[in-house]
Amino acid sequence: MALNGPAARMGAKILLSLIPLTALVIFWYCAMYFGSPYLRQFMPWPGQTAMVFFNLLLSGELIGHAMSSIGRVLLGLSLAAVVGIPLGILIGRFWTVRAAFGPTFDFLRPIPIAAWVPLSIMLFGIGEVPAISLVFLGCLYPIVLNARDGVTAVDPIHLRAAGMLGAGPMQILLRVVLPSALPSIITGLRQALSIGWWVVILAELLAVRSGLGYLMIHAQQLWEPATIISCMIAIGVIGIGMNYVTGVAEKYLLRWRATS
Amino acid sequence: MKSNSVVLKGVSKQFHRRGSGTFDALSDINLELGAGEIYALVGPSGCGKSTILNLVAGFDAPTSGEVLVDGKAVTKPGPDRGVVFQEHGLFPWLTAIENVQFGLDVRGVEGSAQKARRFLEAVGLTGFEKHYPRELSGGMRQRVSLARVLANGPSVILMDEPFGALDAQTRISMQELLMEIWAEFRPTILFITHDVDEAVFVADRIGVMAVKPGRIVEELTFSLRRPRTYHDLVAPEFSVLKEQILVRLRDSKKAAAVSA
Repeated sequence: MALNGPAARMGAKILLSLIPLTALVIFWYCAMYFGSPYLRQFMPWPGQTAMVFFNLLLSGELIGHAMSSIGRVLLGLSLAAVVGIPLGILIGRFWTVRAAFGPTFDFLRPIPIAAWVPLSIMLFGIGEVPAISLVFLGCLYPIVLNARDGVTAVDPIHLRAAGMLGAGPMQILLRVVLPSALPSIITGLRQALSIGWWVVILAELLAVRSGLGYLMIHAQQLWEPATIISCMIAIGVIGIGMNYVTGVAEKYLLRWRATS
Repeated sequence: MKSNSVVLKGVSKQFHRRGSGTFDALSDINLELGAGEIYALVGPSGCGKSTILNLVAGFDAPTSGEVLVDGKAVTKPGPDRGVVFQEHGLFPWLTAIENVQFGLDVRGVEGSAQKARRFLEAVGLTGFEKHYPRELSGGMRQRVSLARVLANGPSVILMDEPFGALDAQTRISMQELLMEIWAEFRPTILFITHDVDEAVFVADRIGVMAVKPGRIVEELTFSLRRPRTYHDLVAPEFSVLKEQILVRLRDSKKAAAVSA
């Protein structure tokens, strides 16, 4: 059977992509089987884990917590986009705004989001506010930076073209600068989404009593490693799903660009 | 009485050189274009022919002298002076028809879609309305560039080596298209080129330029029949004119070499 044609190639791709995961499960079995008896006392077998996963899935518990997590990411991301896209455009377009915000931004950016956790819990207590604030902050940086880069990379010939066609400053901003910067803005939003996804799990481990992160830390306290692993699987699957959806959206929004 | 659409009076332009003073890009340029006239500027690179175009377009301001279009001093780019750039001047995120509509829309002209369709038809692009620039050939893109400028009904069309990036065959058909367009709409055109054949083919008058400082050393008028076709390029009158220009260009080059 020759490996040609798109269908055969697709099949081969799927099979090949399963190799590392299968190897991991086999390794897991072997470790349990041949490893120290101590391991078998607390680690579940792959099959047991799968059972726990499907129970959590069917009971709705996993989905409920996942929805809480996703909701927080989307809310934090939206707020960051509303603030960050205009801010990035202004920073890129006006040196005054750049001078005003640049240094503060450069100072805050190296502080990891995790470092904001203690203060945000002290300020806001345990609940939605610290979780969403942390997601917001984590999403803000890539959104602002990419919007800024997109704006500064506008082709000067397009600005000239718009001017000679009769566009005023506001029309140039909305009809030329914004669409020119769109690829970069979308890149920023996608980066923000994946950062937001790991920030929300971190926040839920510490600062809020629902969501996949909370389910994990709760399972740790109850000594339920199968639940923890189930959550990890869910986090990974949702991450892939988000990436896929935003990839499709990006392709549609940037359909005017060469497909590479 | 014939009115003059474009007037340059004693225009000079100096550019600042990094470190070492200024250099004269243009010195004492005097130029008048009558309505409906096609004026070509030919000259070696660095003679300032594109600088003249930028001054008329309002992309740049003269160091001294006056630039008038329809009797008004040029201060900034505007829809009365349409520019056809050498390449990449179209907005890649807009379709062909949206590119043509752009100027009409930003100026609030009603029925822009219908008008845009008519101008695309005039440049022979019916059926390509929904294509993005990347899906069009170089020649087709320049047709769209011409259509979007025509749609604005400018006092003068400024063409900056518009066909310079095209292959020889396409260049010829674009020059012929330009002649057809001129016959239909009678626009005033300032045409920049370094191709003597092209200048002779399209223009009513030709300004021959020299470098250091950039200046017009000779102006040749010729009133041969229109419409012209490519057969005219081998007519004796054309050859005589072409020789005159080539001699003038060579002389100015020699003079520059001696003074350098």
